[in-house]
Formats: sequence, structure tokens, C-alpha cells
Amino acid sequence: MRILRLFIFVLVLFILQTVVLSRLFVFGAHFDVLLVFVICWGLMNGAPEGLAAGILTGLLADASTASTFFFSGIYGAAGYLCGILRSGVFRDDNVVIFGMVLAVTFITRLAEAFSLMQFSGRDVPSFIAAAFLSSLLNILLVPLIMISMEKINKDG
Amino acid sequence: MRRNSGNNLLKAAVAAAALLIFFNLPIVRSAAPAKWAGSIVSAAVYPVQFAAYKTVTVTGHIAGSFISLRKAQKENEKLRARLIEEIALKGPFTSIIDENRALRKLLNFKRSNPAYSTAVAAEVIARSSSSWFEVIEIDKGTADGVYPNKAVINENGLIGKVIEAGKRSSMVRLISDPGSSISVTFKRTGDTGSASGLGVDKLKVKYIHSSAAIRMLDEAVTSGASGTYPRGIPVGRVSDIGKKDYDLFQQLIIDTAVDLTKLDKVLVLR
Repeated sequence: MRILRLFIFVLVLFILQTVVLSRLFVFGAHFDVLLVFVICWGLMNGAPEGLAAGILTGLLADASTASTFFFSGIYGAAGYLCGILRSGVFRDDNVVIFGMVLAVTFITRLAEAFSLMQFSGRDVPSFIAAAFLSSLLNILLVPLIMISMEKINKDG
Repeated sequence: MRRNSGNNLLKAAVAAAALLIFFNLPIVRSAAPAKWAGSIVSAAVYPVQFAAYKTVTVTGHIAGSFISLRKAQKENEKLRARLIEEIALKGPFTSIIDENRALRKLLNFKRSNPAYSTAVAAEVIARSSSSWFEVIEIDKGTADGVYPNKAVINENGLIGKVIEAGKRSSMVRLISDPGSSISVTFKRTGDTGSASGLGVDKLKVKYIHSSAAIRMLDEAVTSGASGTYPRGIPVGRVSDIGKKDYDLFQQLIIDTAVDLTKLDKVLVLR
């Protein structure tokens, strides 16, 4: 039941991202609710679940950008990393999640930009500023995701 | 405990690096199963996405009506009752009138250009989830005669080209995507260069000789050299000129002719 709820939740977030949030530009950047979800899921449920949620969400992001296994790899790595950070470094402090979303979004965005430049030969202009702005925007989504995720995680 | 954390971090970093490298290997990216997986996900999600887009559009129009109603209430209390009556009567039609106006504009444009008479009109239903990729999804596919590498325009100019076509929907890479490249000609001087995306609404033009007398606001149009884009479609206007004495070429920035952040209705050329 929990897995079904997770699938539906990810699908709803994907629709929200592609139909609404991706059209809202703030100085050229936009919110990324999918990445916030992956980070929060990893932090709340550990590395294996973070990896699984990251790959699932990344596959949808790949479908929306016509890329092949790009976001599934990066989001999977981000989810796994967050899961490990939670069990190894952080305890059950929810305030930390805000800081983690800021930091992990920034790192993930940089990894995406470097990966695109190195492997695809793409020119990614002013990526540091864009990554930072995207991180700030993502913090605003944390309460929404955390409240929804607590409901999904409730009873098996 | 600290040592464990360090080991875990190292493991995570190695795993992340391995995943990144593996998924970006050209052989994995171009593998047929990888492409099929993408197409299946895209086809499965399209109906829900389309329904969500329609819901959001209608909700947006309703929300817009309510916002204008509140403003009117503050501005003129005396007209309040009349406004409510008017909006209640005309509100639902506002969205239809707006849509009609946009479609009429597109239709007139199509009629006035015989070359575009066979173009397919489409609606933008979604946008890529990542800001690194400037990709949109439209509600027309192979069933409507939309195929990869077809140019996508609107009445203001060039938007991009179809990169993937499903049966009922297609993905369009915008000209502002850093991965896109188009051959452009400056109308006034006739100089030709290569324009690639710089993210939202900006393009960088390369290979324009430093002696070329390009001025601010000069118009760039498609050159027709690549074969994908017909000749003469407006691309944008020069907004920045970077010229150095010792450089062979000058660096030009152009603002796109179309506001790519607010795309709604487009034409796919056939």
C-alpha cells in the first residue's frame, strides 16, 4: 500500500512539475519539486529507498527532457547520498532537512552541469548562479513535501 | 562513529560517481532499451499530463476571473453588484474569447504565408522538469503528421524543432536549449553564423567575422542552410556585441523573437 501511495505521489509531483512549476520562471530558474522529494525521501527513509526513489523520479525527469538515463542516474545518486548522510551523520532533526535541501540541490545541479559539459559537450552558461538560485527556490518546497511524505510514510 | 560516517560518505561518493559515469557512457545513452524505456514512460504519462494541463488552464482562467473581481471591488464599491453580475455572466467566456483570439492570430499567420499552409497547429502541454534542458511537449504526434526534425514556429518566429515524436505527443527542443544549434543570417548585412542556446530567451551567435558591421537590434533570421529550418524565419535581435581587436570572430548575443517562457500555441511545419 505504501509503495502504491509512493508511486501515485511521484506521478502527482511529476505532473505538478511539468505542467505548473516548470512554467514559473524566477530570474531564469525554476522550482524542482522532484529533486526536493528525492532528497527528503532519502533523508527520511535511508539509502536504499533514496536510491530507488531517485531512479524512479529520475526516469520521469528523463522522459520530460528527452534524455536517456541522465536524471535517473543523478537523482539516484542524490537519494542514495542523502540516505547515507542521514544514518551516518544526522539524526532525526527535521530542521537539518532545509540545509540539506539547499546543499544537495546545489551539489546535484553542479553535478548535472559538469556532466552535461563533460559528456555531452553542451555549453551550460552561468551554471553556478543558476544552481544557487535553484537551491534557494527548492527550500520553499520543503514544508509541502515533508507534510505529504509523513502521510505516505504513516502505517504500512 | 566518525570513522563509520567517513566510510559511508566515501561509499556514497564512489557509488554516485560510478552511477554518473555509467549512465553517461555513450553506449548506455544510445542503447535501444534505454530509448524504449524513455518512450514507454513518455507514452504512459501523456494522457495524465494532458488532463492535468487542461485542468490547470481552466483553473487558471477561473482564478484570473476571481482576482480581477477582487481588484474591481476595491476600486469601485458602487459597481460591485454589477461587476459580480457581469463576471458571472461573462467570466466563463473570457477564456474562450482569449483562446479564440490566439487561434485566429495563428490562423491568419498561417494563411498569410503560403509556405506554412500545411503546418500543424499544436498546444504546449508540458515543459521539461529541468532548467538545463529547454524542452517542451506538444499535443500532436505522428498520427497528426508530426515527425522528428520538423521546425516549430509561431506568429512571432522560430521556437525549435521536434526531437521525438510519439503517436499523440511530441517533444520539441527550443532554440534556447544549450544543445541546439541553428544557422542564422543577419537580414541587414547578410552575414551568416551559428546560433546556439544560452538558456531562457537568449542565443549566442558564433563565427561572425570581426569585420562584419553588425549593430544592436539587427534582425537574425534562419539561413535555410541546415535544411531543417526553412529560410527567413525570424530568430531574434542583437542585444549584445562582444568585439575584440585581436579576435577573428565577434561574439553576439541575440534575444529570441518569441518569448519562450510563455509558449501556448505553436505551428509544426511539414
